[in-house]
Amino acid sequence: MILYVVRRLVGVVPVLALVAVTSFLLVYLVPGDPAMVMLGSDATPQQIQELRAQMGLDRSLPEQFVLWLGQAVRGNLGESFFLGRPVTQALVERLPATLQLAVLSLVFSLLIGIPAGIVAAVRQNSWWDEVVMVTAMGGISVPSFWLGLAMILVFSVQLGWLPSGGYTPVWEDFWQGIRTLILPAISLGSMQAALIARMTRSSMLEVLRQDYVRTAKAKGLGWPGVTLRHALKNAMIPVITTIGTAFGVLLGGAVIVEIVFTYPGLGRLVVLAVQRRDYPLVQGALLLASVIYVLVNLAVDLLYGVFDPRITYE
Amino acid sequence: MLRRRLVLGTLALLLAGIGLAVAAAPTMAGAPITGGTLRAALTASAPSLDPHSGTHLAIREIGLHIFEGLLTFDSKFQVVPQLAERWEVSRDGKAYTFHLRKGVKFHNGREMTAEDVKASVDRFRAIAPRRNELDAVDKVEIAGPTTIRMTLTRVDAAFLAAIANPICQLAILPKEAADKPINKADLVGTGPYKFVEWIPDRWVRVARFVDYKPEGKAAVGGLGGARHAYADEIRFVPVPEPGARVAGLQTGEYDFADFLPSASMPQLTGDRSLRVVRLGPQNYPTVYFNHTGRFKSLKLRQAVQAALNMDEIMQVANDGDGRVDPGFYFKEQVWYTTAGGKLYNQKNPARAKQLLQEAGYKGEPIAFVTNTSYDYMYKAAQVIQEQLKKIGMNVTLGVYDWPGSLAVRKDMTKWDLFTSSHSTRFDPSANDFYFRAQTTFFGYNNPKMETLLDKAGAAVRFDDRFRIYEEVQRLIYDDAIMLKLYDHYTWQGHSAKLQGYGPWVMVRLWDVWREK
Repeated sequence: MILYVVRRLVGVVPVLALVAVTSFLLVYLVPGDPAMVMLGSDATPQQIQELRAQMGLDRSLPEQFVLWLGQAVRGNLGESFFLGRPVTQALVERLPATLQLAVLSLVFSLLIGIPAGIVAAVRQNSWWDEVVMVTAMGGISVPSFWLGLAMILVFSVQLGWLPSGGYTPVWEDFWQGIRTLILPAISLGSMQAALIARMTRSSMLEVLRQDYVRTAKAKGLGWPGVTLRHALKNAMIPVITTIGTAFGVLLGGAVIVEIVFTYPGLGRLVVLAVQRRDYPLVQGALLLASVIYVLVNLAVDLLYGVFDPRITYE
Repeated sequence: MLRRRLVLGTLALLLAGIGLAVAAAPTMAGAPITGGTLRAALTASAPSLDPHSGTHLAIREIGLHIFEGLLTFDSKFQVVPQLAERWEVSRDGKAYTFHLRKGVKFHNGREMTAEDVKASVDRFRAIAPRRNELDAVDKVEIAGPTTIRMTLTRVDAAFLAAIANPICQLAILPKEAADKPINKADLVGTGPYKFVEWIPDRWVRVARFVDYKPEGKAAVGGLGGARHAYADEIRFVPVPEPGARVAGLQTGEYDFADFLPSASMPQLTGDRSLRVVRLGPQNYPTVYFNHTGRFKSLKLRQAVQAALNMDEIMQVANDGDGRVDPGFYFKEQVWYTTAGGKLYNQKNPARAKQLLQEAGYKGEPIAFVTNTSYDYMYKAAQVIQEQLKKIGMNVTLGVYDWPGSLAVRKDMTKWDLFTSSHSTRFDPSANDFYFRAQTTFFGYNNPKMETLLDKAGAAVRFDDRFRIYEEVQRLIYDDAIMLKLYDHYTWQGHSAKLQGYGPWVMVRLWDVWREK
């Protein structure tokens, strides 16, 4: 199995190469000049030329790419034009915020999604089932930023219960940190909760029809034993895939929610970097998002083995 | 069983690895009542805090609390002393001797001397984007521990304004900053607040500098005079989303917020815990002609000039929050003039059509480049497009974000009209570069204008300079060089508990305190 892990990790390399080339091309092909953004629109052409030379932008595109790649494979993603600090540092500074939001969003979506899915499956076609499915439909359809803005209006402005934005790390002030995370986590997590609920329901329905479940019931096992000990574990495989995808998406940076809540995560960083044409930062952020996504997928694949002992890794 | 343990173990290692990475992340790196923390929500995120690094608004909005220059501007945009208490000009007008105030301390405790000033000026002249404004400077010499002399190669009437200009401020830094490149100098100044911490996208924190010595006791307004630091700390928080700024004000998370959308005015003015202030005017949107393309034709430019209805443009672009006025300087500034104003806001489609005919325009496409980063520019462009269509011009909009539009502007074959804006100019010479053939970006070339600007550069007396710049403005209108649209107002809001705040060109949180 170690071999499997190693093979998968090696498989990250071509993915990164593709992302590197694509992000490089995309960013450079969009009109805009970071030197001009930095100096302001009134800068003289000479000043802009000088700064471009300093930034290495006067070289040809292939040359710039090779130079950047050469450094990137050594772990040096260059320096952000605007923040004046190494790209890796800028990204790592944002990671804790993004991780906190992603984790809390995932916790919320699991706490809501899985029980809802179980209830809907066990009480299929009942009133419970309808409520869960309609709510799930709403969760998938409602845009996260709209939900965020609506919650700010109600819970922050009208009721004053929660802050409308900002960020406090939980290790600096636990309760304040949680308070700033609640609304963005719910905005982000509701779509994932809906997806998880639906997947759990359909997967559970499959499993509940199986013979061994009927046997367990016939044995006299109560519903917690049947549902949780037997059915749920076996229903989890497809759900884990959904959870994995959800976490990958959350970690990649929830751009719009971060902007609505003024949350300093990776998503907002990328948007600002694009607006400023901060090429090294955009490229570094895209690479990081790809790495995270691949690693999360690997973790998900490994988790399958925990839930289904029949799965082997070769 | 073993396999399961292996899998869980691998997973645990993976998670531990991520956990370690997070833990290893650098720790993340705010009568008058003294005390408390002011939290200000600003739209723009500072790309840098190095005062010599650029003309971006956020750099000076925060920076002017931390740094000071030899000179600055008062509320009428006149040059006044700041770190220099007085100065003398030689008879030939080419040598300026500045006498520095004594006993002024940097935030690191050291006293400011002429050595620090020379080092700062040298650094500015080496790396600042605005260094060309000091082109006339030949020598910068230390003439005493608190005396510095600058010798120019020619008489430059705009020299003092260039020293005082807060846009890309010639901030006086300790001499250790001398050879540090952009962003690498320590953020140490002499201002009422000292730099504490900058976490990009989270906040910039500054703390009251207890040893601050204000220049004089008079409240001259603007950026000068006695500046008091009442709050213990100010936190500048970048909040680009207008809705978030409004919400933050209402929930009390922010004590101050800039650039509030006019759509939020009704709900904010009704809120007794808040005060809404109008910053009027803040800038004026402009339209440039590309003089190397179709608009080489004077008649064609005049046709556009005749067609535009500025009242309508202002109504749509800024919900009518503004002032229709021909001045390239605001009424509030000593440089204000209405010269050439007859050609402004003509709203005369009949005349415009006639001029189009005389220009021989046959429906050729006109490329109008605008951007969505500045909402009012985009809206203005749409209205102008309609107004020009009505007189028979075939105008198409090219819409980009701001950096994109600037990149397109560089290619003179890709645009005919371009939207932009002028922020408040502190001195009329700030607009010179638009109209000089060597520095213009829209291809304007007129020897008459060059002569006028040369004369202005040599006219040291205010009255002489004023008359010359009046002629310049008249020429701008007669020659339809570029168009000014309207005086653009913006809205700011603050907690009702905040006292002492006066809206001006840029956010000023000195002399401001929070009631209990």
